[in-house]
Amino acid sequence: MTITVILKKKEHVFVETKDLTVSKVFNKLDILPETYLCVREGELITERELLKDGDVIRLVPVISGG
Amino acid sequence: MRQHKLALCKHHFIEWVCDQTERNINKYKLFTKDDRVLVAVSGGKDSLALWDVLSKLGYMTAGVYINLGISGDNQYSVKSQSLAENYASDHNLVLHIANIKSEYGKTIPAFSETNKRGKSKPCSVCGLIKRHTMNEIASRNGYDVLVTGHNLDDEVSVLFNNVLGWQVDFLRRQSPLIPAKEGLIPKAKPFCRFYERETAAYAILAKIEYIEDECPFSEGSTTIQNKELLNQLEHQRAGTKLAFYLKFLNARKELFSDLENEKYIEELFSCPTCGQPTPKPGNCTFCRMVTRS
Repeated sequence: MTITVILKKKEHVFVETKDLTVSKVFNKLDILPETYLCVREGELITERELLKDGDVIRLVPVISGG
Repeated sequence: MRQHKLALCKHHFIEWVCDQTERNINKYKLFTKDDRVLVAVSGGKDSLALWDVLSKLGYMTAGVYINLGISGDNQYSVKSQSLAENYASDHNLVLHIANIKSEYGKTIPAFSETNKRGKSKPCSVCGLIKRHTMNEIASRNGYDVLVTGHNLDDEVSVLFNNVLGWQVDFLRRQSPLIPAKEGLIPKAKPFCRFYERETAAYAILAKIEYIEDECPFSEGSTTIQNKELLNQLEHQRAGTKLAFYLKFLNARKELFSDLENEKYIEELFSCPTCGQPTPKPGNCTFCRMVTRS
């Protein structure tokens, strides 16, 4: 039972995946939901989305500018 | 969108972004459908999303991309130019491209190394060159307005900085529309009320391919530090950023009741080298930098 999260080109693998939502992933990685979006198979998913075994999700940064 | 207490499906979100953009354009009297609009395109999410929305709304748009000659690990300029070109060709839109090294002999990082403005970072030199080049291209090609993809987070970050330093002149000028002056094309920010998260969501949902990597020089910048701080406040209290900006726009009219007063309209001179306006007689800052470097 694994879920892979790609953040800043690095992979984070979660083994305990029961009831894991995008929001919980943000918490575990100490990320503010205001600063990232989550994409699964090219589609945007919300913070409430329940993740499934084998999911690979990518966290897309939204902060830009110099 | 906690600040609006609103949740939308893909179709309605895209529609909402288009409707709100049109509303902003009308509310702040940015431009009309008779105007020729030049979109400043960086290859990033905001500018490409803005170009997409304005095209969908039926505005007469073209893009301008400036190759700054920034490389870094991600070949930043090469990659971002390619994405801007792909978007333009896929949508059958005109894209003007300026290459700083080809036109002025040096890349932005090279200019900054030989200029006191850019000793620590090239951002100041970059801003100066971009403003000059965009105004030059817009004027030469007869555009009526230059639009940028500045979002609410950009605006709030600048506002926060200007308040921290009580930069009264900068506060006076901060507005969704910077009006035209002799020789200077007006600049408009139709996305100024959208959170950065919303413009990124629009780009993903509309399947726009944009450069996710940041300019290598933006790391540790004040803008990004401010955005991180403001997002912490937003997280604690949804709507903080939006309220800060909108209340500023209202307060600005009271704080600067003389905004329309002629005495505050800066006198401008014409640069003898490039012909663009400058606040002092003689060569403009851009021409002084190019000839000195």
